[in-house]
Amino acid sequence: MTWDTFVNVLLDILTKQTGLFHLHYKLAIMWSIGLFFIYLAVGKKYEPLLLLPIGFGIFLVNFPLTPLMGFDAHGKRELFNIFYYYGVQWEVIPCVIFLGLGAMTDFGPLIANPKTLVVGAGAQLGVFITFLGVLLCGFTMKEAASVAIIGGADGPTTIYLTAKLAPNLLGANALAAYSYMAMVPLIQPPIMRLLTTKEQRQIVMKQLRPVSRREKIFFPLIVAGVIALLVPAVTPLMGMFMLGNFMRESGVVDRLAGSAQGSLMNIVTIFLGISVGATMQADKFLTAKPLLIFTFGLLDFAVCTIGGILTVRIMNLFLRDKMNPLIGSAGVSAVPMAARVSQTVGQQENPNNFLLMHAIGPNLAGVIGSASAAGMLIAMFG
Amino acid sequence: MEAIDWGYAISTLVIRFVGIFVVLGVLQVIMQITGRVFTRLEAKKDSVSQKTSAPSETLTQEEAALVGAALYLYEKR
Repeated sequence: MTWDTFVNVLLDILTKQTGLFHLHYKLAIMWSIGLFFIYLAVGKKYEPLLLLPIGFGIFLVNFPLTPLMGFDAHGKRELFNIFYYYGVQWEVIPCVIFLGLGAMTDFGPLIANPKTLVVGAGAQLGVFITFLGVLLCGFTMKEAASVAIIGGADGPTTIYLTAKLAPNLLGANALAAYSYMAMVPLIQPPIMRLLTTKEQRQIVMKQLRPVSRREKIFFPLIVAGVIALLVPAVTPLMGMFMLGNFMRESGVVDRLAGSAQGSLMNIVTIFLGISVGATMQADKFLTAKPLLIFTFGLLDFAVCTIGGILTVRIMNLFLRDKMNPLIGSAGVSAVPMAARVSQTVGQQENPNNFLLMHAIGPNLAGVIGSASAAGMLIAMFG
Repeated sequence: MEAIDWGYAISTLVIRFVGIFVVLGVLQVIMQITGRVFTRLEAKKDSVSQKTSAPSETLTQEEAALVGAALYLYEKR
């Protein structure tokens, strides 16, 4: 072998079989985005269960020549592409996550105070206002719908709707939804203080009545029935949510409920995180749209918070037992973080006021409300 | 870029936002009705169980002490 041949072979290997000669500044930007989300997850513990695999997915998929998100020479999907295709594009993972969430959730506070369901509806205000704003910025109707649902503060619902209507925005939408959900304690308190008076923040609510086991068993059946009848487009999500809850409350399939909220949920969370991160490849992600999505996502969260608080204030005009308007902000879903924020802000005004259980009601109503909003949007554009 | 029919977009949004209130309102009404039914059923169940266990609960401390002493004497005989 001559020296020239050796150099040629070496160069051939370096250019065709390594990524060294395919590096680009856009890739470096994506690595820094990926590492930033890994930092948020590990260093700041912001939604680590999702942001860690998402960040790692972004980091990994933005190395040149990596066989992860494309097709191989035989036309077979590569590893992350398989996760994405069968998990997200087939809409399996969001529904399985809802099954697990249902198995984790105690609807007692919502059943004890069904009035808070209306708060969950009011807190969807931002979804519809943001839709119009996003449309003005040149997005298509389907894209605008997928961005608008971010304010519902429900990760699986956002992913489910985006995968259906605008899969090209999946990475940015999911990331915005989970990032802002983690930042609820920063976003909501100033709005809550701005829209309420000191007296209103000090309102002590009547203790919730005890809820019997029979009521808890009937609840998922009723919700599943009503949603399937009135918003059938979102039955896959809500049906699985209520199935999980029914398994929990029935008390006869503890093993299944345990698996749904434990191992199964953890497994699909890994695949979801990686799949979402893997959609954020430099050539698709580095456009003006993700920036707009993050801006509108923040606005969306703020308007949804305003919507929830104003709904409680309007309801208080007609109620004998007044509700503390601070629980309205929990209507944005983001369970249970938004409810904890209500509790914290309430205790700053009155240390003896315990709003947590009262806020869990609108918080769970927000999950149903955002799923209903998603169903409405799917019915419009799906 | 697709042309946007703003009239359609705004009117359908308003209808659907109201629609969410309708859906959750219907759920609220159903939950309130079932809540009342279940609360009554539970109250009825409680009153029945209270009635069956009434004699033991109506015993005064002295009577309970007497019953205890009687049982003790009966065992010792």
